[in-house]
Amino acid sequence: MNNQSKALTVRQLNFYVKSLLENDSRLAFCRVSGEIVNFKRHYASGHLYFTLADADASIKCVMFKGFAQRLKVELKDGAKVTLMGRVSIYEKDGGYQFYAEGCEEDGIGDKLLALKLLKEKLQKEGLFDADSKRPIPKFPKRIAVVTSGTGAALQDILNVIKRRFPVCEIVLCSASVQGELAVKELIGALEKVYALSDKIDTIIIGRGGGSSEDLDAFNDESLARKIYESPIPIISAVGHEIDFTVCDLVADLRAPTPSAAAELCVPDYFDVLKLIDALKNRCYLKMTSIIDFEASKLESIVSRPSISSPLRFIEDKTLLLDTLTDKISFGVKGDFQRNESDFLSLVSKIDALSPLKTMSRGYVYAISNGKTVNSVKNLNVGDEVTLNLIDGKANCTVKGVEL
Amino acid sequence: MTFEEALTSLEEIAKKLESGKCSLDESVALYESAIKLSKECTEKLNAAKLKITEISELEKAE
Repeated sequence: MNNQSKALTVRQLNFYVKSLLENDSRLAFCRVSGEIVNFKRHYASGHLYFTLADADASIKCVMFKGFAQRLKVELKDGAKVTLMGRVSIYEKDGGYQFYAEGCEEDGIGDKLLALKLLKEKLQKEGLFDADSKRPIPKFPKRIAVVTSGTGAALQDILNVIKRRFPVCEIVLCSASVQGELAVKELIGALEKVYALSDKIDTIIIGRGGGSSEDLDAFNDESLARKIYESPIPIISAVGHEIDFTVCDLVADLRAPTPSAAAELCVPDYFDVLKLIDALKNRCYLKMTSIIDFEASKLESIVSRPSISSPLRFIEDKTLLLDTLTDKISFGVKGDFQRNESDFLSLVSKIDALSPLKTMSRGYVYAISNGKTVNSVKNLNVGDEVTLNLIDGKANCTVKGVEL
Repeated sequence: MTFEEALTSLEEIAKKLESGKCSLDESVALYESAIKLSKECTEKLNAAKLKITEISELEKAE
């Protein structure tokens, strides 16, 4: 032993031993003979606790309520029995015990064995495979119910569906669910349903609770194979809390009771109403947001000045026009005035320079021999001179010259 | 239209509207359909009375 490896916890140890025992095929299903001693029935749980003993040894036993209920033989102190079951340990306290499932003296032994073997066989063939299980339709239009026409199971199913989802239709196919004819009738009913499989969405096959014998039909191999053949989803509802019948294992879905099967088959009325409402709401919210969006798009276009006040555009332009016109006319007038005043000042300048003005003051200019006389030196006595005055001429002769 | 078909259509309309790819006209038309469908579904649900038939009747109806 390696002292350096970590020590196991008690739990780990017990778990390990339990796995060892449970994985051993000889211990997973074995038969033990002995005498019952220290028998106790636990009232609260219904489980049976006793010790199975022979001359040399004993082993603690427990038989759980479900198996105990099926016993026809009464177990009690002193009874010599051969029990079938498995060996394991109770993890919590490491108690090694035999878990009894049946009693051969009951005659159940062979049956139990046969059942176990059948389950193994069908499992090997893949009839229980999860992959082959189909989903159950959510909103079935027609549901076929294969069960006893007089049993409580049918009423339970009808009540549940009526309450939850009366929109669908129920198709009844009665068949005995126990007794000799059960298997034949159940198979016959299924065949009728399969023939109409294009009109039906889901099948419920089942029955209420009962003794293990009552449930026999649902462990029948041919019925199980028939269920496996189903072209449409099928729910098995055999009222049995603990154990799964072969039909349960083969079906697409197993329900513990017929009522539970019905609940699995259809949605609840209120949930559907909520769904419809939620969808409607989604549409409404999206619609209002689309409208708001488009409205604000429209608003922003309409509020542009070119659309909301087209006149203003014209007014602006008119204003501009007026301004320009004023500028032009002001400019032109200005120019004109400036020119005018320039002109006038030029005129007065010219005027001032004009000899006429001077002449109007009495000055005279003289012309002699065709030339203007601007010096007395150019004049001789006796010359003919023409004097130009503002208003006329005078012909004169020079009488004398004086510097 | 069956109940399930109506419900499925209603869901598809909700998805289409939410995709935001529809024009205003299309959206309005879709919304109207949605209202109609939801009304139909609710009415079907409320009016439904569980119909129970024997398989022999169904066989005859074939």
